[in-house]
Amino acid sequence: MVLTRYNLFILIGMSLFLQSCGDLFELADADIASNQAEYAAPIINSTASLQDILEATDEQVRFSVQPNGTIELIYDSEALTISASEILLPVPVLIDIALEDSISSLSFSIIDGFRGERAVFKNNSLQFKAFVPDSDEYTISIRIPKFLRDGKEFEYSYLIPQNSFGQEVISDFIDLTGIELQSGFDEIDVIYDARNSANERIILPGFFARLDFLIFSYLEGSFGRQVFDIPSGIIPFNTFRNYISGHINFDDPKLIIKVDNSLGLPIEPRINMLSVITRTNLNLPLTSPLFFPGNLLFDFPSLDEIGESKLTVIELDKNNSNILNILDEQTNAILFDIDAIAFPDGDQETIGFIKDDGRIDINSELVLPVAGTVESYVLFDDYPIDSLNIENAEELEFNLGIENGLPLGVKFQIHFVSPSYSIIDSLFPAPIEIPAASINNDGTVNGISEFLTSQTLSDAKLRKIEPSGFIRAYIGLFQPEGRTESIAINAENTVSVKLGARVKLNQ
Amino acid sequence: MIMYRFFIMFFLIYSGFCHGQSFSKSQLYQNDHSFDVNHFQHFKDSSRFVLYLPSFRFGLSQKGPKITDYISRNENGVLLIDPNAALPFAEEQNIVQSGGRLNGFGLAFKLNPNVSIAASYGVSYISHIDYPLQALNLYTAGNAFIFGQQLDLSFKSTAQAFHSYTLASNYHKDRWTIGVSLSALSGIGDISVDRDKLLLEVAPLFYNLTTDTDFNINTTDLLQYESLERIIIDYSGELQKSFFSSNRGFSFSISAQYELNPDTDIRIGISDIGRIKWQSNPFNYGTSGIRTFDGVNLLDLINPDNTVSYQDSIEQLLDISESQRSYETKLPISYNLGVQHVINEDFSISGSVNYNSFSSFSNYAVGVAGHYSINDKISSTASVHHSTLKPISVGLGGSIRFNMFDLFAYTNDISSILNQIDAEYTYGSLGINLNFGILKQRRDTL
Repeated sequence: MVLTRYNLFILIGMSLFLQSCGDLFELADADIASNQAEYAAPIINSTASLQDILEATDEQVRFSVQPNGTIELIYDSEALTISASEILLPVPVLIDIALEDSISSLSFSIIDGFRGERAVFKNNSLQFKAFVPDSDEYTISIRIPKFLRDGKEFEYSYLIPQNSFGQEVISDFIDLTGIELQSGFDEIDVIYDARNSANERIILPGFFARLDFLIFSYLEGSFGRQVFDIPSGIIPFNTFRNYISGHINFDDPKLIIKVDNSLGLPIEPRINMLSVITRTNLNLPLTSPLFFPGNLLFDFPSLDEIGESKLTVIELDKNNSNILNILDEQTNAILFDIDAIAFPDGDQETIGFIKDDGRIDINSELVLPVAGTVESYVLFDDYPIDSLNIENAEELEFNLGIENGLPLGVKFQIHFVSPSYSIIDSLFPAPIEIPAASINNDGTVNGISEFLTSQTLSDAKLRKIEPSGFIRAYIGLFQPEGRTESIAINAENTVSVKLGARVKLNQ
Repeated sequence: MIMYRFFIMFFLIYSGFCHGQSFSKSQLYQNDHSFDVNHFQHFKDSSRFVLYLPSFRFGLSQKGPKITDYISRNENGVLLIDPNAALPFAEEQNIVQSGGRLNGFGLAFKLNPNVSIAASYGVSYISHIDYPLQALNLYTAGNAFIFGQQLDLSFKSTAQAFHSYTLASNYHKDRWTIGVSLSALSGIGDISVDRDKLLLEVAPLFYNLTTDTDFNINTTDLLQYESLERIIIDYSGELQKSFFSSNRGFSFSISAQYELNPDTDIRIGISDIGRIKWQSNPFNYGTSGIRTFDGVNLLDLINPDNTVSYQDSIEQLLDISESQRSYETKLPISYNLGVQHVINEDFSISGSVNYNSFSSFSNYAVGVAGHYSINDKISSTASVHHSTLKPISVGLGGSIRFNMFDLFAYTNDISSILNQIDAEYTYGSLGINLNFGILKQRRDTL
């Protein structure tokens, strides 16, 4: 009875407390009630020059600033090179050279038309091979007077031991590296002196010189006319990709070809092809009187300047070529194929040289000073988006502020595009127009143009653009009102963009 | 948005702890037999032992929205946490504060007619959150309602639990009874804010965000921060190791009772002077300074080689640093004054004043109670209170004796007896103890 009443008391007491906190026991499993709130946050705040924008979007362009402040866009080709190692190719010597008498002549042919005056061996080795006529012991001494090491003629001797009858006895490898070969490459005397054990000089029935290949670290002589094939090159030009309409006239585009030459040969370029390739794949040849034979010659080091490099700069501009007429916003690339012709006139008297570390480097760059005129030029770019993450947004309002410090007016629109490339909607009812900065008569900017707009995207519009796969930004450039003269964009001309948004969320 | 995460998480963790005990035992209910520094009165007649069986007591103070204001059920009966429902009740300063103690076991032993000693084991909880109206507004309305002014989102919060091992002694001489207790504390887990400045300003037009912060939150085994998107609040410690953990502390309580005359005594006490040093796997997350976010760089957006994380940019506004320094928390101190007067052998009255000093918000309560002995086994108590947060509340309770057992239950807000968490201010106590070693069965009073 007592126990029952006790239990009852406890039960009642505990029940009251448990009841009083009942909801709390479920709190861990509770849902968060839906809520409508409005959040405001800054989205974009940037100040950028044209250089900043192009650096962010174009990996190929680099910049320089002219003394007057105008930006130059510079597009480089890959460096094209022909190195001496491609010219001084190893010449294989496929057979053993028979030395018929104790005095024999060797003849080396290295490069067609080359008349050697001096050469230095590189990484070659020489062996001699003798057929032994009997069992006697022989000592063989060899001299090659045109092979000089440290000014002394080449000498070598080796021993054929007794009882080598009928064998081929081969000498050790003789390292020729550094040995200098004097003039007269087509008649190189090899003198050997073979003596038996009685010190009697004999003519061996078979005695050979063995060279696997010929390779030189230096050649000097008369090369004759040589054509060195240089790989073709390209200067890609992406800045104005995604062109839609309009026209840009550059004031002074330039194509600069820089040739760095450490081959000691007079070389003339042969222009096989130099063309502007348009976005529609038209091939527009770039022509210049400079390309006529004899007008261009790469500088080269003289015999007193071995190891040095000489720079030749060829600048093709509106004054010496048709580049102004063929290069515009439609340009997609510049293709070129240039060969190097040594001794173009076939001169046999002039002595030249090639050192194994010599090379011709050709670097080309297209230089576009950003100065000219614009005729309603419009381009676009696409920005993929994984998801807009606006499923909880009921309304989105944004304020866009732009301070235009460019001497160009800008039109701007964004389209929301589906993954299947159909345009869903636009951000603005009509493209916004940001006037050009105010400019002086000489085209320099003297003030900024301020622009501010607010837009509200309704729930219906948000639902419409929600499945967008990417956004497409359109940017149009136009001349300041009333100005037809050329204008230049300077390095200090900037555009500031500020964007803040308020979003009503239902979450 | 950001502050809401903290807010809602602390609200939840607070709610989990809210049915602990009051910061100290009420002096109003003389027949509340739960373990206390002043235990001399629990020896009935000539009993020499009092065995305290499990009991618990709790106190709850709420200012602004109550816990129940945050909770609703939808038409399908699903429990919802709904800050919007709480918003109409919000004030500039909103507080939910609770604390209490679950007594496991205790034993008191009367050494002689003048001296007793007692030992007890219990688990205590403290929870407290003090948040401004603007923090609630930030969630319910967003941050787009005030531009160009600072939103004060600063909040203080504590949620902690600890084991306590208490030794107490009472000395009775003539009209005086003096009690002291010393508790060794072993912390289980803690989240506590020790620097709370969190200001947010939204600029007009482009809505630049500026934060001005000096905020630090410490935690031991209760919170894992990875990013603002991923904050895990869960107990990650090992409970069995928490009984004697390296989160060590102490607390000290004293009480004095003076018998003015045979029918009247007066009691005074100070409870829970102490602190805990949290050093088992502590983490500190802090932010300080003024930071502004104006938006991301358009160049980064249009550069296909760059990846722009707006989330990271927002997080930089707080730039939360993480460290693992040990830290200390103080216990909330309670000051109590009580008086009891016996009218006749069946009826007595009592009065009390209680003051809790805790963090950013301290509260007081005064009350009077009448105690009526229905018979020699049952007594009842009715009380009236005035507190900082509730002008008038009516309490009710009682105790019942079965042989050696004393059972008791009290609440000082009868209106919320079916929903204690709906009270602005409440105290409750429920438990049982056992007197034995009784040499003399007669009892003068309960």
